[in-house]
Amino acid sequence: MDTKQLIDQLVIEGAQKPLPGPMRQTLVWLAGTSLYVTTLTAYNGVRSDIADKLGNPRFALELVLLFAIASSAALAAFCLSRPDAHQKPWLRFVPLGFLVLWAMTAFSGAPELTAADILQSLTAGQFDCPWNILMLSVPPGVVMFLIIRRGATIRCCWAGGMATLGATSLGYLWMRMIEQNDNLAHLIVWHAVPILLMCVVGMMAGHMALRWR
Amino acid sequence: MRLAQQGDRKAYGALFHAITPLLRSFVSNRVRNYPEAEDVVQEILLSIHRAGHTYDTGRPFKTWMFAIARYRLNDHLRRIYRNTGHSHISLEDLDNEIASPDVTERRDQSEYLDQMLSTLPKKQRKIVVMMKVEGHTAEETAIAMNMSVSAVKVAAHRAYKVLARKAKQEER
Repeated sequence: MDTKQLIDQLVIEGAQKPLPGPMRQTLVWLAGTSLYVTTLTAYNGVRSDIADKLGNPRFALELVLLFAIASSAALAAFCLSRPDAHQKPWLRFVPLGFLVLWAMTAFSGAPELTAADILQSLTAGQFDCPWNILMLSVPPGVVMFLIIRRGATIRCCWAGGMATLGATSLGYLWMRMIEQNDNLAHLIVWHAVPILLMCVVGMMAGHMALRWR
Repeated sequence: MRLAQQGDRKAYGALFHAITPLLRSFVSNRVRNYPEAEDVVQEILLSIHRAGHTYDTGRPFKTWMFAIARYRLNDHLRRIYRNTGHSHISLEDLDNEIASPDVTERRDQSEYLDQMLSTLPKKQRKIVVMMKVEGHTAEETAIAMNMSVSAVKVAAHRAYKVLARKAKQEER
């Protein structure tokens, strides 16, 4: 088939209707996910000291930064579902900036931790925390992957990583709202590290599931 | 593109005709072989059509188009490099074997080549003839044989290996 014939065929098929913009996709995803998280929180109940904790500026800032990570990661993932990254390739670094700020806020006391603290937390074997984060993150993560797949992703690892970061950071936020445990070693070992691992898995899943063929 | 997304097919056709020379020049900088370059241009046009829904009319079209073109071109080059990464035995090498004095003394080149090709399974023989004698690209051969491009390349690679081995045996 020569190029002219191909063009004639494509013209007969016609152009497709454009997707909703990434900002709109993000807002819809955030609205749906917030509803889902609120429902789960209402079912499980929040930690008993939530009123005191919300009065603590550091805790409030931690939650705000987690929400900022989730929303910026979702926006970056939806932009990355376009071949040209919606002509904002820098956007994928914004969630990483929020991630650093959040780590500095939430784990400012980490340098004082000893190896014994970490070891003690590790041996406690609280697998229910990463499991809960994973269970909360899977449905919104899958929805985001499905929306991204409707596009034409070129940077599929980035898109997968951002989608996972967006979903898991909301899972982390939810755990902070319901679990009455502020032990730093526990938060690092059973919350933060599993999220990083999930993001690595998300990048690999992105490479397999989001690649535009 | 804005008009095309609103259903204007004439504008869609005009767009493709306008961008084809740009894509041709973009691709030919990296792919020298004309039929191969034209295949890549067609692949890019098809990708632009398939990804048309991801274009935001509020943003420059060319940036979006060249992002797709670069991706498809790199994809194509990656495929080529991956294939040449294997030990490659071409029919040109086989020609050298054929051209060696002890072989040409015994028989005519084309007769020898025919005889060598006849030792291959029917499918492999047809692929080698199409690609190396008739000069078709792997893509064209794949379409004619109703096979995937990679399957054609693998079959051709195996056939070259067999032919080279047989040529060496004959030489001994």
